[in-house]
Amino acid sequence: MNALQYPEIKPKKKFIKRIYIAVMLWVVGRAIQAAAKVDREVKEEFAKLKDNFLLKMWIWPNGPAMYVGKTKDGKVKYLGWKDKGYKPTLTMTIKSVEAAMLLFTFQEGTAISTARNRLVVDGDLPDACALVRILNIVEVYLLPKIIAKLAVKRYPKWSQMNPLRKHFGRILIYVRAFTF
Amino acid sequence: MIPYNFTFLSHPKICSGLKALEHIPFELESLNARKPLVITSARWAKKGLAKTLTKALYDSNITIGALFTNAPNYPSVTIINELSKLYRDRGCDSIIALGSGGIAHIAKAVNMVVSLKTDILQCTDLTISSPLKPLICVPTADCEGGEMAAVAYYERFEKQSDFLYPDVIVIDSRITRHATSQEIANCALTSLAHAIEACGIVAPNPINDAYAHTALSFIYQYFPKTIKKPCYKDGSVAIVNAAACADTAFSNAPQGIVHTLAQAIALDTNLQPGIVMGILLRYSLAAKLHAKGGIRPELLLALAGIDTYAKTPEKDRQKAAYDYLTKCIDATCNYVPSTLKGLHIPHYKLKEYARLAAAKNKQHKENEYMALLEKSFEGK
Amino acid sequence: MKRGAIMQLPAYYEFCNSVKTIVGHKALEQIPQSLKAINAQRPMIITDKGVEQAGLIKIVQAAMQKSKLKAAALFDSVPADSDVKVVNEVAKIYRAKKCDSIIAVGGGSVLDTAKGANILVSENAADLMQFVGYGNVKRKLRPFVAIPTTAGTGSEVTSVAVIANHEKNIKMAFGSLFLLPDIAIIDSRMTKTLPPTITAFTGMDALTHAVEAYFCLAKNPLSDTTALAAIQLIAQNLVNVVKKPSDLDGRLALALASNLAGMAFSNSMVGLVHNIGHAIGGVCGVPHGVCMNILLPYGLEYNMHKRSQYIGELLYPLAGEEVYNKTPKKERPLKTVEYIRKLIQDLHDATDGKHPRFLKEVYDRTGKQMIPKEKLPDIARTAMSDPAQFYNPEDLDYNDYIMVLEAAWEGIPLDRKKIKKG
Repeated sequence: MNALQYPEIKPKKKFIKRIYIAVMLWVVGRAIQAAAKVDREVKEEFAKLKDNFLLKMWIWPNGPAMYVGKTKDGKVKYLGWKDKGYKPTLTMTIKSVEAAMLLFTFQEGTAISTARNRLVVDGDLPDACALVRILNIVEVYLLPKIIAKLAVKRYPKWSQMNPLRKHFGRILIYVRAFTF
Repeated sequence: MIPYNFTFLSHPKICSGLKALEHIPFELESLNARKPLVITSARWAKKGLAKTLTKALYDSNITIGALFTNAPNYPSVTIINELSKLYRDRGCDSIIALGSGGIAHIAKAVNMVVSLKTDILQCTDLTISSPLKPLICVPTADCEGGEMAAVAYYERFEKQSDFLYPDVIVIDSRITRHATSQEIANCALTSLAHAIEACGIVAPNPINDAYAHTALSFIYQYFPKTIKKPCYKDGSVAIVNAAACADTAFSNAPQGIVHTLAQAIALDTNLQPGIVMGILLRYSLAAKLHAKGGIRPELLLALAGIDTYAKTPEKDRQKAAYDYLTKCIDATCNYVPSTLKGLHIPHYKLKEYARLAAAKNKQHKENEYMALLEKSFEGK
Repeated sequence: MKRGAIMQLPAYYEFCNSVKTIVGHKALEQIPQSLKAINAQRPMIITDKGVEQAGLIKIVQAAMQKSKLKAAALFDSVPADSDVKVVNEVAKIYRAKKCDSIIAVGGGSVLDTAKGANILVSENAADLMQFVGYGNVKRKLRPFVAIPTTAGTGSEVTSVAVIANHEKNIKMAFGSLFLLPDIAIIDSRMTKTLPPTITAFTGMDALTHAVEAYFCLAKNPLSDTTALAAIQLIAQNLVNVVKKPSDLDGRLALALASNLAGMAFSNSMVGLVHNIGHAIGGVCGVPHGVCMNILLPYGLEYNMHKRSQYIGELLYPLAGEEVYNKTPKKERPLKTVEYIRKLIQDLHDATDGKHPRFLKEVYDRTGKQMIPKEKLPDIARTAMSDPAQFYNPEDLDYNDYIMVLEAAWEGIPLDRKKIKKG
């Protein structure tokens, strides 16, 4: 056997998919920050979390990543994608770029993705429950109903989120999330 | 009621379905491995499967130590030694078998050599008492039986050990959908025979039954469509799932009469064991139907589902199960003859096969093996 | 020949069950050869006082003695709630006595303690914190034999351990396939002396595992077949064994069912019943199995609009084929719930009223009500922080929890018209 015929193969990167995921993580991070200012329920959820709450959502093993945390004055801030020595209290690790693509192209909602072991949640588990509720609300705001229904377990009826709150909130979140 | 008295072990983690390949890096990492030796054949490399696997490992910390694309179907000492050397030279820490049949058994044999640090022929007599290096099986749908079981076949040897189970079985339609109809027939018939023989024993083992029933369910549901259209994604994934479950069931039950005979015939003739099993199974079931004890009625539950099972009167269930199973075997009629004579096996060889089978597996007497061979020869 | 599709091929699933399970009336006698097969010669027995006083450790030691194998150490003080201090103490003794393996004899707390201790001694570590979370135990641990004494939690086949740090007031959760025992021994002698009340609610715990595994979001083919087998064994044996505790065949069947249910739920997770059950356990200190037993019918009612087909299929292993055939397909889901309520009632009668049927009927040994109605809001709030809800088919908010809790408290069926369906 000529072993040289079978060289070592180092892994390459899927650049376009990584860029898409990075953008989606940025959108989610900014939207969480905006929703924390605009939506009463999201505000209440964050108020119950500890002051040192810091979420890291990332793709194993090399990123991209997203950090969202509470600042010293209790505000919720999107902290960017770089690790500046943060100590996350809650980590959502998505196991691969493809798993992240399934999530961020809404082929699999968060619940289904978790059920299929595509992601692992580590850290303060009660905070994870709050985070999933926050993400559900953010997805309802950000996405049209036809897509949001794929992402969340139960799309809120009028009685749970009145259309005025939804549409007004949507405008505010989009404005806050995409302007600086 | 016969009291429970059994031991059961199934080691592999099964990852099956959409984007299953992309879970491999995380699974390797959790087994503390980062540099696998990938073993596959020229056929699968030509079909692009090696490239698919390589791409699935992108964006991870996994470096493929070597991607060997010329594995033969026969696990010879030469190839095992060559690959063991390649493993060591490249500093690999795990093995991925991309393919079924000989590829998987070569991978298992190499794993024994590099883990036990001894020659493959000496491994045969050694008792393995601790886990081997991590082994991931990524099967194609041309399973021959045993790839995902606690057994390794190499040269003329068969080695059984709990530690020969693979650690992870990754079933992905991008890999499974490339087999031919003939290979699907072989795979499904092997799985069918293993599952039926595993849950046909007298002593009850509900855990083993659960695996056997899963295999039977998938085969009945997906086999007829998949054999006509082997690239049917769900079908090929289901058939390989059935093979994985049947391999576990097979590993946890005494080897049956059909398996033992088929192995003896396959070793001598180079025929695919599944094809032989399909023929023998048909006549074994017919004999069982009329024998004391008969066919287990619960097989109907696995094959037909709860509704049909519940509606079928108790006295009719054995016959109904037999009919469902025969229908499965009949679906292979274009690829498998209905008698041993159709495989051009000469009659005078039957006695030798019966003798070899009885020597290997003393659970049945030589005349029992011979009786089945005679019935299967011309189908009378 | 048409086939009612029971075997769903999920778009993606994972399943792992890598514990060697030995089942039989004399299964313990296989300990020596099992330990020898994995190179273990100096086992440490870990257990609790209850198990020791019931004489079960003597049975284990006698079985080992037949092959001249002796335990190198014995620790019998595991508390009801696994604690990190105890784990550290166990590890210390293990090292001092130069043990090379663990035999854990007991229920969930003993098994979790043993898993934690095995991490420390295998990794040669002093602090469990570095291993908290999923996938942080990355190597094969030292040999570990699990012998459950209830039927049961199924902890002998789960890859998780939860250990409390009472000083820091946190619960540490560890998840890794390397936490699985090498061997689980299911021997009828281990549950023979279980009192009827404990037999009843541990049996219902196992039933809940199997039922929730069958209809929650991560269901898969192998978890389905193992769950159905478990449900059938429990339905056929639980009430009989409660009435006749000496029925060893029945005891073995229930222990096996608990093992099968453990395989099922550890791979397809659980939902609402465990979600609220954990919260009740945390707020009011009610035993886990008691909560499962009461909440099970409500878990089915709450999810019925999303999972009616699967809930209907459960009627077969629960009630048998005659009832299944007689019941029109549309009515089967409700009939399943009716049968589970009937099972709870039968257990209540068989234990002279000690087995509670609803939350207001749960009393402690002094006769004090353990779940006062005023605690329901606390329980609802705690349930909102329990991750078992992730795998429940339908979403839950605070008002949904209150609705379920109030119905379960009174013991009235859930008004399904009030369930929010989105």
